[in-house]
Amino acid sequence: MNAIAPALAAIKAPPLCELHDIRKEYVLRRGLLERFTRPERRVAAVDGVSLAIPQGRIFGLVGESGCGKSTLGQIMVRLIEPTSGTLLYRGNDVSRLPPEERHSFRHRVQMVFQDTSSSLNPRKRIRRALGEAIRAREVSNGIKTPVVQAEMTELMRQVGLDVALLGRFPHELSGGQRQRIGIARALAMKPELLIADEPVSSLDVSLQGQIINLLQDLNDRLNLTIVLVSHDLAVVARICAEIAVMKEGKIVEQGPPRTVLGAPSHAYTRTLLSSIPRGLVGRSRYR
Amino acid sequence: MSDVVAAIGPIAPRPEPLLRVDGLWVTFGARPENKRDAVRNVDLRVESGEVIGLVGESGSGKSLTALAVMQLLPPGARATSGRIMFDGIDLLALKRRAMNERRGRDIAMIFQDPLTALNPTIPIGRQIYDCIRTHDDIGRQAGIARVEELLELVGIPHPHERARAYAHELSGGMRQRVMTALAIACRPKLLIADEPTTALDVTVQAQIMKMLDRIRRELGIAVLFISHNLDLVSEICDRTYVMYAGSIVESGAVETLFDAPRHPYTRQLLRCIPRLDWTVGPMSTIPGLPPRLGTLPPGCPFAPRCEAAEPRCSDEKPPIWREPASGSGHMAVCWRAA
Repeated sequence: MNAIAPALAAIKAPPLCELHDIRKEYVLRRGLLERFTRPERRVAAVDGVSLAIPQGRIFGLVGESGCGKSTLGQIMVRLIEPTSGTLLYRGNDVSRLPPEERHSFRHRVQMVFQDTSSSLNPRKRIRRALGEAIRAREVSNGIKTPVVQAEMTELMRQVGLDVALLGRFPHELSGGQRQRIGIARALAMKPELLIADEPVSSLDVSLQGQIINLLQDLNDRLNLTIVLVSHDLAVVARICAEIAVMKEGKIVEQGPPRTVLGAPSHAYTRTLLSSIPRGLVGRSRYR
Repeated sequence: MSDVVAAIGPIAPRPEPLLRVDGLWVTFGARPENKRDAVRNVDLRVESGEVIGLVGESGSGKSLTALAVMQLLPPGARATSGRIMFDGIDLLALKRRAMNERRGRDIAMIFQDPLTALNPTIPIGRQIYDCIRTHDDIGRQAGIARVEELLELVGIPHPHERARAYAHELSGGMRQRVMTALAIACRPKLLIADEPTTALDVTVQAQIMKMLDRIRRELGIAVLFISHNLDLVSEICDRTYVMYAGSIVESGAVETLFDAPRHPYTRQLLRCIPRLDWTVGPMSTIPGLPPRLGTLPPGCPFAPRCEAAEPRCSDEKPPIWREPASGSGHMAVCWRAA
């Protein structure tokens, strides 16, 4: 899939998820006196973003911290309600879904977080963390324990982990293993869309590749649509069919990575590009 | 700023390196049955004004090595043998009070997370001022002037106003600059930077790297730069040490490590770094995990993950290979290095 990724990107896939003019504002806190003397001040974390996430692709969202890329990711999972704008999933407005469909939307869109230790309960063994996700999915139908067991074994196989790790606690695993568990837990919901918020930035370089390859593999095998939120342009360029560069809540540039990063038209993209460490080549910038 | 430079003066070449670590062992656990060696027989040398890299995965012992030099090892960890010679003095033999005098004045350290390293209840200027007054008997006015000079040196705009700010009012990059200003406040001879940019964005990371390089150039302070990214380290370092499972596995000039690495770990590590070079296909990884503390294989600790391992690698300790044309200082601990 990888070799033909650029060619595929040229053919427009139908969007799985669409954002129309999404805005998220936060009201700044004022002191007691300021509440009477100063007008309310608002800051827009996401400032009018429109995007279409093509089905079956890996979509990259890049930018510095504070640019609103994580907020946007959380809006897509509806962890955060946007102040204005509409979020369409398979053409339906997510905020107007009937209750039963809202439930299934929650299952179909899953998230993987950056911090692998705080996203797993330290008191629960991996078996319980995964089992609860599977049971939550089947809460209306009910599911038998042996079936849960079998499914957990399959999930562990999918993310490339030894089944023996199911009996461990999160602190007994390495960062890379914990991140795989985070992905396995998201997969337990049988999602169609996976939002991965900086999944490798807390990992060693030697392990980053394993997680990135896993995401690529899940995209290939399960046709899973992935939104990869990252500040690492090199990682994003490697696996994404399309990327969007965000700055101060707005999308400044968008397109296939080769176009955006190969010939950036926006000054901000060029700044991002020039900041990547380049080893020996990079020494010249200090001399 | 110019005062700071003048105060330090030119650095005279000296025969003895500024920092020499010989055969350092750091061990967790007091009783023999639960002893685990986290740093094993590390030799390290930093000359005056040099920038040295220390690279390895998390858990490789690179931070513990630095903390041993600072005499700030976490509870439970002890430097059980070896010598840490700094400026002609064995730091391990120093009494606590004598070490306290040197720490901050002669050797200083900056950490990955500047927010937890700075006091949240005291303005940043005051913290730097306190540090200067602790080690230096200069007047109040001179101290305040020095704070502003330092803030300007590390690239903080409007130092006079910013000196009154609290740590939480600053961005991550600005906090790291303040942390650096604090560390170089007493013109140390050696600055240890432990993953100073890992929590920061790429653009801010580039700024911090430029700042560190400038400090080294303008003040002649030697820097020990700790990171897991070889690409980053090689941008400003002269020589680099690569650590794996508590020991140095390769060291040499950065050019040599990049162009002709002798240890397969260095080679595999270099390949793992994501680069914007339009390569396609799966990313390189190092399969498996580093050995757990206290469970070392009998032979080379990297053998289970090594792409070039031979049968003898897992059974026999690898020899130390040194570049025969001495002077380059290139060294690797591998059966296949020669």
